[in-house]
Amino acid sequence: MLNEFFASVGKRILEFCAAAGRMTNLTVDTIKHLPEANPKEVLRQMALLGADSLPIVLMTILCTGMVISVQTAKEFVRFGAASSVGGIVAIAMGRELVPVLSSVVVAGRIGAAIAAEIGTMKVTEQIDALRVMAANPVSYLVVPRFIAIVLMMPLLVIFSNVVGNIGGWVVAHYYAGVSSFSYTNSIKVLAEMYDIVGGMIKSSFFGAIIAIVGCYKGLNAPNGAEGVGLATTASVVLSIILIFITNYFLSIVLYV
Amino acid sequence: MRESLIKIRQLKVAFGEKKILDNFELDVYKGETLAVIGPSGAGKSTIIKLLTGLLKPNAGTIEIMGSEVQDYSEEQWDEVRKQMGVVFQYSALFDFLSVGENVAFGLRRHFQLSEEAIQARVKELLGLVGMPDVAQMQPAELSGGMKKRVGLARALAMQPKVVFYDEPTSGLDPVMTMNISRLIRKTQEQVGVTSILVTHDMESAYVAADRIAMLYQGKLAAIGTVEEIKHSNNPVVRAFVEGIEYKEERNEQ
Amino acid sequence: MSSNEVKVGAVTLGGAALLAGMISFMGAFSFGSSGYKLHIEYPQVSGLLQGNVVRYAGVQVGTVKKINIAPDKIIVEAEIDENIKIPKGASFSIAADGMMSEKFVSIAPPAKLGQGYIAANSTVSGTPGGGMDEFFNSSGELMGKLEKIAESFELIFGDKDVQLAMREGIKNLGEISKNMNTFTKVMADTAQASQKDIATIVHQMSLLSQHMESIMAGVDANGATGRNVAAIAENMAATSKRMENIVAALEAVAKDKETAEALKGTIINLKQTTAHANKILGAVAKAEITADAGTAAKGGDWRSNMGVTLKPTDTSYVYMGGYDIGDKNKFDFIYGQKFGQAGASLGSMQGDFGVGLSYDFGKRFSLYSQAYDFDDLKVRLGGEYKLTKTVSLYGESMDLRGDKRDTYMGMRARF
Repeated sequence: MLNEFFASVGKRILEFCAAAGRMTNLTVDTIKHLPEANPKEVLRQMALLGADSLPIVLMTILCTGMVISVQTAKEFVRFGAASSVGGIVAIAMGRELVPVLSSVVVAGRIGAAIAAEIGTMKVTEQIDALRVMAANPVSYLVVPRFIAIVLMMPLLVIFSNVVGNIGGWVVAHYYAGVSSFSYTNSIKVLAEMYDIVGGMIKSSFFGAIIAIVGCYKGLNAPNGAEGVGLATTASVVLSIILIFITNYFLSIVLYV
Repeated sequence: MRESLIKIRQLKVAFGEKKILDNFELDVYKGETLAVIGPSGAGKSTIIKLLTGLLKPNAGTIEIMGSEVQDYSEEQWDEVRKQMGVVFQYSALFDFLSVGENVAFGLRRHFQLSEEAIQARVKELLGLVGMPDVAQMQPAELSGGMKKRVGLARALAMQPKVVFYDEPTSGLDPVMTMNISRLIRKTQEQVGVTSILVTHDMESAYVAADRIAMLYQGKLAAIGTVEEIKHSNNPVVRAFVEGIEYKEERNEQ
Repeated sequence: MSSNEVKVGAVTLGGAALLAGMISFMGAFSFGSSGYKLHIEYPQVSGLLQGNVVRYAGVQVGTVKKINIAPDKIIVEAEIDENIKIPKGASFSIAADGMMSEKFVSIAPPAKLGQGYIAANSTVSGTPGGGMDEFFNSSGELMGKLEKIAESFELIFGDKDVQLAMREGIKNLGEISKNMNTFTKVMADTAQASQKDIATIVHQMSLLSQHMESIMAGVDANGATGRNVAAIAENMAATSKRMENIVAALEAVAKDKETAEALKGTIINLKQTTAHANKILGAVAKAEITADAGTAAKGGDWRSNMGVTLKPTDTSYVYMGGYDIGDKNKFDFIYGQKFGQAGASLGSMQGDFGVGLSYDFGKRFSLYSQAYDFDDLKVRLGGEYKLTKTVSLYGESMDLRGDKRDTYMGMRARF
């Protein structure tokens, strides 16, 4: 009984290490094959993964900006710091909320799509077909997605920052009565370009996580339609967990 | 003695405790069509995976066109694979590409050809499998039999020296099964490639193959020409020929 | 041209445009920077940051580009809009709009123009935050409060407990005023005495002002003063000028040489006093500030006064205040010094130069007497009874010597 328990725990740990190892291998492989990227395919993936995600990401970030403003503006006005609202919202958005939340949304939308697409290819032998046609699945499938997300995430972040701050301004101005000048001026004074650049750097890392996890889960999908579903869910959950963990370390590296 | 294109010696493959192939030996002669038959789970598909480098054996040697490939890296395998074509059990057409692009996939990737040359070759190949007008369609729009034909056209695109067929007739109605079997035969005669056909459909094997190898519990139970196998006294072959395959077919569905 | 290319291109171009907009908005670099540099030196900059704004008389005219640290000072490099010229003599202080708001460099125009303008790339010295600015801000606040409290006076008088205390107080005052009557008679007699007696008073004044001078010299007068002090000093100068007139008039009165000499000494000392007033006001920022407002009734005639008392040291004070009698406003600007229970004061009283004496009887009751307007000598005598720490009753008799011997009764509040 106890033996079985320890055996299963040990097996889990081994499986976990093996998965981590395979994912690391996939990352290394991806980076190794980066030069083989097919520009046309990268472009297709950029449109599919990046451009098409813009509306939902913007929607999410707009609401987030407004919420942050709702929660801070009135309180700040109460403490006589109305002239800090814009800057606080801009910094919170630029450094943390925009990169993390955009990435979570993209993980949900794109990470899942990647895992499902590649998972389907895996269970219908298309991955094997690629291999026997001397097309490396990593360079053919993973690399374009990886490049596309890593490039598109910072772009999404730029758009998101603008939209998020507009949302924040609308709320601060019309709900808390902070003047437009005071709002924009406090962004100018308190926030730095680095707050946004740091967020862009973060988002690239998160994009890489989404691409690698999605591809990994897809390439290792168990056979059958059920396997694709499992791979999809697992990829979203794992991406989000890894994004939050990585975010902590990136915040320390970039801002401390 | 005919020249062997593929030589398998003392091959062992096991997934954990479960032995798939044990001391397996096989020769495939140049230009012939060899059908590997046997009940499901006997390791038939494993042979194709081994010969295309998708799976590495635990022990033994595989010699393809004079080179030992069992320890090849993925990159070395890619060189070998450029001379191979595989028709998958479920066709495995890339569903993000059109039918024409599926056929052209290898050509685009490994040959520096003009667009006209590629289109001409695609048309020729689709004509060869009897479907000249589907290049612009998407794989999802095709029926199972049509997909198999496109899969064959794709496998032949790079003018391979060896073509593998993995259960080419599974899931097809009897008429389509015979059509595909005759197509394999016809293609082999026209193009002259060496073919390895993995199937559990005896009728299909009789039509398409020159020789038949019977696989049972990870070992080669019998091997011989179609006529030899038809009249074999080997009990395993007899049982299989006389109807166990129907039971297997039911199990699969 | 595929739709993918268009899509990605549009997103990329849009993103690049937004990024460029953001960068220029944040001022990481500006397109075609226009402006000139000023170096402002401070002993400390109380948290001023790069990117903070520079305001000239409240209008934003530039930004802080860089803050350099030198061993003995901080040099703030500010970029000023090229269209804005800053007159020489302007003061550069560091201020903030509120507790949590951004600091900024506040440039105040000088009192007098016409000295030319500060050249680009020149170095000027700045006034750090706090000091006089802070004092005048807070005293302004105090004045505001005073007004409020004056309004609430009615409430105080309406309170039954206060009325009771007042009744008690007035009872006491009745007795006091009896005594005061005797006292004023003595004072009136004194005042009516010969010119020799005046000479004695003036002589004592001279001694007093000498004493004052030494006190003032002793006041630690570091810290900057600013423009406002200059204005006050100017007022002081005007006062002393008026005093000169007074003394000149007195000279006619004082016929003997001794008196004349003493007067001259007074004037000289006063001039020194004026000089030291500057320093004292510098120390004022640190001083305890109290203010009082009172209304007094004489018959149906209401008088209200309001003032600020500054205490540079424990025993000295400067009182600034105004009276409003009918439609005439009169001002007090008095410097005083306490010697235990007794006290002496000097300054402008009711708009004229005067001297005064006071004496505390215990903790609650004090009497004071002031003589002023030597052209037409007036003596005022008053008593004050403290009801609480902040509220007191007082009675005051104006012009004991003259025929308008008006007596006011009132209430005074301190804050």
